[in-house]
Amino acid sequence: MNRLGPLVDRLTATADDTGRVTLFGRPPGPAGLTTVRLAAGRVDLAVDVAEPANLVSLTYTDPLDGPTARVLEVLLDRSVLQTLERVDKTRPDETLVWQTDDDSPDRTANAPRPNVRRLGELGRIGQLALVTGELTRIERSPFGTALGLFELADMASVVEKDFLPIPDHRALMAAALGHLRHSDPGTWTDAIADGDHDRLEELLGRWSRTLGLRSPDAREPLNEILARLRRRPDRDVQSGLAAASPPMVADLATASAIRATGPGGTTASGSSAISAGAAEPPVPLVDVVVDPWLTAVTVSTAVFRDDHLYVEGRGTTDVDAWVRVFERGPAPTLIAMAPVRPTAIGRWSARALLPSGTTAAEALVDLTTRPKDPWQSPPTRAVTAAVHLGALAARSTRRGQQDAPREWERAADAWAAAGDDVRADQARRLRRESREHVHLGYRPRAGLDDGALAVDLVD
Amino acid sequence: MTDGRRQAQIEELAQWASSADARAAATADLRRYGLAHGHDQAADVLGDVLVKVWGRILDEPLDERDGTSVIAYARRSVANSVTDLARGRHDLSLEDLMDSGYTPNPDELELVDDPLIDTGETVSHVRMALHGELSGRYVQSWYVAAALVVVALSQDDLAVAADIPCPSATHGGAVRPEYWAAVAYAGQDRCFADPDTSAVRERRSQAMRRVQQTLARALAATAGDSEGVR
Repeated sequence: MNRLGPLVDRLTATADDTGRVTLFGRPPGPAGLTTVRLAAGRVDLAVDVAEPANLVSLTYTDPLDGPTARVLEVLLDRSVLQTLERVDKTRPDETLVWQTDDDSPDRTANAPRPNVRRLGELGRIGQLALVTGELTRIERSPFGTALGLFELADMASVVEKDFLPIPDHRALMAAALGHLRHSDPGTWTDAIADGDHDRLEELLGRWSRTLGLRSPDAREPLNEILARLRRRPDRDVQSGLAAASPPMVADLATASAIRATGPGGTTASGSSAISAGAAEPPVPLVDVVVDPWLTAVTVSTAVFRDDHLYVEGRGTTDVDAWVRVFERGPAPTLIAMAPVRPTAIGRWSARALLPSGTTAAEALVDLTTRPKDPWQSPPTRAVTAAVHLGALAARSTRRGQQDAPREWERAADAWAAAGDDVRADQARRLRRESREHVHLGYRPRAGLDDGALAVDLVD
Repeated sequence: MTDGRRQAQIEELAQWASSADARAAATADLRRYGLAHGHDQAADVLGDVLVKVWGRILDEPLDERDGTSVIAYARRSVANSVTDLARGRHDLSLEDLMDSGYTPNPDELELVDDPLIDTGETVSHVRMALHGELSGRYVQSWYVAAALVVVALSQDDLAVAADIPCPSATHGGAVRPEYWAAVAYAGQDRCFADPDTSAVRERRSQAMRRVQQTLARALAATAGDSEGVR
């Protein structure tokens, strides 16, 4: 029996010379993967973000000890485990340990998939991984972080016996309470869109029962949040309007910027990065690789002069952007970075002091909102952007938002631009399915038919 | 822990990262996750691994007695780097999130010795360490932007732009012009507001101390790389 997800039709294994074994199921889809740590930290498991009941990979270190063996026994058939034991751990080659004998067309891209309720343990682990991924994807308010950690604690408590996830539910709950103490109760209800209150009330009521049973310390604050939600002044009006409310565009700070229609890592050169209607800019003397999600920002000029880099451009960003200069090399080294600063409406500039003698030939320059990241080539940035757009689309799908099909289309375009037609097709399949979700009001098989996650509803 | 061991591990890492074996490892992992695995993508993965493992060795040399060789550690990092790529952009780690529930921003501003930077190969390591500082939860990007300016000015006789503020005799002898320039290049205009009130001076002083601290941490991380860095 396949307990690895309806889209997984084979399982391969590789081992390295330190005894670490990795099992590979299905490559991640257009929204990427998310991970969770199990067996008290001995097992790393990755699932698909858009369809989290499907195993992407599972890594453990041989030999199988108690907690690791327990996790594998829950997820894998005995016959698969026996095959796994025979895998030559001294060779890095991939070994096939299982494949389906089911030739039915169910596994084609267009076929319906089974409901999560029949998927068992991996479906629940997948949700745990999904909430972990969503919680760490963007910075949230203390209240939003607390809710996400409560949600994780609730999920962890359910799977703890078999899977020993870390952090465990007690640690998660303690951290949630810590964040809650740092939040302002007066703003709690502000962080939630009107149409989402009912779902959040449902979740809080459940956590109050389950987590409150395990830890009386948690019951009171959870009930207090619930009480505040219930007595919000506009509750009566909103409860009647909720069903008819337009979907909320709730997203991370860069939402307005992340509307990529093209490939990642646009290199500003001549007119390629200039928005329609703009005057023809001077030809830049330095190539500037622009983060693909900064589609509202363009570079007009970039020149090296007198030990400085001067960059000018148009557009705005919601978050701080930086021009970075790297010295070329096997691992390009950051040598300067300068803030992007507005100079007039819709215009900006950046100026960096460079080490003496830096030339355009030996420098790499980018414009980014993530200065801590290492240098990435445009193809890698394209993948990063496409994964990100896929994750946003998956989130909209979970919430049943009307934007979801359009967001999948954007993700499909981004994958196509990144040269990955397989994931572009998968994104289009998910677009069709999300359209069904919106129009028919059901969530058939994404592993999420229990409703939106709390981390999807706040911030 | 010896600096010699740290240096040897860094050299072994750098040699491996440019090897055919490393490229093959990166390519194989990218392929397993169904990601494009051309030259650029593999180079990006290895660049990421080099920076991260290099930072890890600077923190503390790998203990090879427990079976963690530099190459094995780097190979494992290749797999992690590819997984990170397939995860997409993530701003936080769950561990940080858990910790931050208890730990407020330390916001410490104790005085540190004036960091001194020597010339030579070590400078590139200081710059790499400064880039690593950006991952610190409480490090703002401008601290690093400014520290990079201090490093540049310490190495070369560079002419700063005409509009960059410079301390005059009235500002006292302890103020170093390279820190003024650094804070200005990093966009901290509030530190140079006119009139130059005591509040502005205090703001400027705090900003320069933050830059000093950031640079001092980077120098401390690379202290074993060369005797020339104090």
